[in-house]
Amino acid sequence: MYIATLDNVEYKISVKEIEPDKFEVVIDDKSYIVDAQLTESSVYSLIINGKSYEVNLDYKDGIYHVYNEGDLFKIEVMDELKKRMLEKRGGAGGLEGAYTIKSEMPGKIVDVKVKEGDEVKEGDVVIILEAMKMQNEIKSPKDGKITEVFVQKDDVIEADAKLVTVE
Amino acid sequence: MTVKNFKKVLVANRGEIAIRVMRACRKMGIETVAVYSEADRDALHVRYADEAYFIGPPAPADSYLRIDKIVEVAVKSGCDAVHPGYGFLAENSEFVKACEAAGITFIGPNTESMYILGDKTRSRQKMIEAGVPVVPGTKDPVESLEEALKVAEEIGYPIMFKASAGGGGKGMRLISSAEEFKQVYDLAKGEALSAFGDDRMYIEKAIIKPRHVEIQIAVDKHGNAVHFYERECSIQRRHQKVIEESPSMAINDEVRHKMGEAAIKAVKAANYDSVGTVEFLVDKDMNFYFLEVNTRIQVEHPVTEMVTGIDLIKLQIEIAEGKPIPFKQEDIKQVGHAIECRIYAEDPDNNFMPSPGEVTGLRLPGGPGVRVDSGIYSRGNVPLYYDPIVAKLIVWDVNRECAINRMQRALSEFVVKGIKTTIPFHQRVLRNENFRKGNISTDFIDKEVLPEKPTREGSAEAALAAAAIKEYLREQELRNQYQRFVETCAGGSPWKEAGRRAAMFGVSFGDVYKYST
Repeated sequence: MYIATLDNVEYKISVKEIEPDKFEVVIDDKSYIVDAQLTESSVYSLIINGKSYEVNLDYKDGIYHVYNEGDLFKIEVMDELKKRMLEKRGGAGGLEGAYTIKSEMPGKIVDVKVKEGDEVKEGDVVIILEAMKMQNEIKSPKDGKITEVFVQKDDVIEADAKLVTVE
Repeated sequence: MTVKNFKKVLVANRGEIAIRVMRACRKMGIETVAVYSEADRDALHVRYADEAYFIGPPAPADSYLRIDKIVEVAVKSGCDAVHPGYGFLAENSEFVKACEAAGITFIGPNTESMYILGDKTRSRQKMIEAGVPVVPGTKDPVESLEEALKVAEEIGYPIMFKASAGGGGKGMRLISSAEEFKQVYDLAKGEALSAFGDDRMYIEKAIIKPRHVEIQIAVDKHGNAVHFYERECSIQRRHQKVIEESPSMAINDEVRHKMGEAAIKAVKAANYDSVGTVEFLVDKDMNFYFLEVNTRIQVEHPVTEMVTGIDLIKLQIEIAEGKPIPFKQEDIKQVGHAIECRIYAEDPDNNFMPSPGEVTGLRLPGGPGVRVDSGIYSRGNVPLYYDPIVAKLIVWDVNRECAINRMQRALSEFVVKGIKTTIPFHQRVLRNENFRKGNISTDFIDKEVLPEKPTREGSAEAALAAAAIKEYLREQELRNQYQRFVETCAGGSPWKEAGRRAAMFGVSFGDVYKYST
């Protein structure tokens, strides 16, 4: 049994393979027979009760990103047991304590707006990163003090590179 | 006027526009030469061209903007002409001069008209003299924040703060108050400097709820001028067009006719001699104001090609060869309706963050009335150094409603894997009721709350089922891997073995226990 979380709503889902590429999926007591074929690069063709869907599915940081006709569904799927255990441990802890902002994309550092010791408010611009000819403002996700700056002007960075730590 | 027949053309650009130009050349029996940076060795335009030459490092300033290197390649490879595409050197009069000095024809306007029209303050002055209506604003660039604030106060907020050398929406900001102006003044100038190497900015009164409507024109070197009617380009984000269509719902036939005449008056005043576009803002009462002239082929030229049936790049090349326009104004008809969606490598669900990287999978749409101009291919790379446009999807149908439906169909067929694109965003815009009714303006994307509801009943259930099945299959695969591992592993401490298995498969001890039971 899985617990799937979509838009803060939890769904209990069970999956049973009844024949190759054919599944019985029960979502909150409602049963669906799903014919699921993986086509090119994680594009799924689904036939559910005769209706055909083509969904584009990516997996990132434990979240399934499912695109269907322009709609994005961000779904966390977890084994029920694991989910309950994590909840007992108190979850991930949000943005308490030191938080290191990482770049979501590769690019060039155009400006570093902060230095170590600076106080920042949530939403303050800390870095300006240029990628694909657009300047993107990277903002602090919380109030705090800058304890570390990992980049300087003109650095070319990869995606996921550390930028600054706010504590 | 000597008429030439080009034998070989260098395309000083990359991506979809380089391929589009090369397609026109190939059709005309002209050989093509590509140039490429380090980041573009495997780019599609390099493979499409008859010849290709390396010009330097990835940064545009060191490669695609290097006039000396490009002219050198053109001379060495024996080109008669250079086509600049859009962006990069397309509106750089120094490049035109360098081409001419090397005996190579620049496929675009003469330097005099480029000088007049390439600078917004100069072109504005010219239009005032020619009697073309313009938006109130400054004639010269502002020199300081203090001056800018003073001017803005006089004109009255909201104002537009624009780069003199700008284009494509870069370095251009809508500003509603003095406080906001103080905050963005340096940032906007910085963007202008970075994009155009020129941070001069000027101020214009902002027209509220404006529509951006532009007229495609062509003028030959014999004094013949025609227009190809209008394109509606009001769907913009950060002042960059994202969806364009033709005809526009904002104007009627009478205004369409007047705008066409004004556009021709504008380019004739500047002694223009190529294809180009005269951009206007249209207010809710169908008053139109001159914005600027783009002295190049534009990204959105295919919508005009689809409704008029004329190959604008072929025409542009023929004009550069010195040939007269082979038809008259009355021969140009606007038939049906065309829409273009610009597909950017951006993540619309994460504040349109750029999304360069490898395209791991690609399926292009097809069928009647569908055209794709693209520079990507499966396993190809989208570099971070250049514009985020990776493809343009253009459809034609008998009327706007049919064209929208056709575009929705084509978008649902379009699959790009590995990078994020704006395809989902276009799908949401196209089903927006106000878009469908034609109730749009340049602030549509910022102001309109795009519907979050799923398109089809059962969409959320399908997504949940897909994610759960994928998780189930992922677990099955881990279980199978584990079994294969166990079969090849013999004896030893069970704890040590479990630890090795957990590390090997990137799973927890708990999972190892689970898969082994």
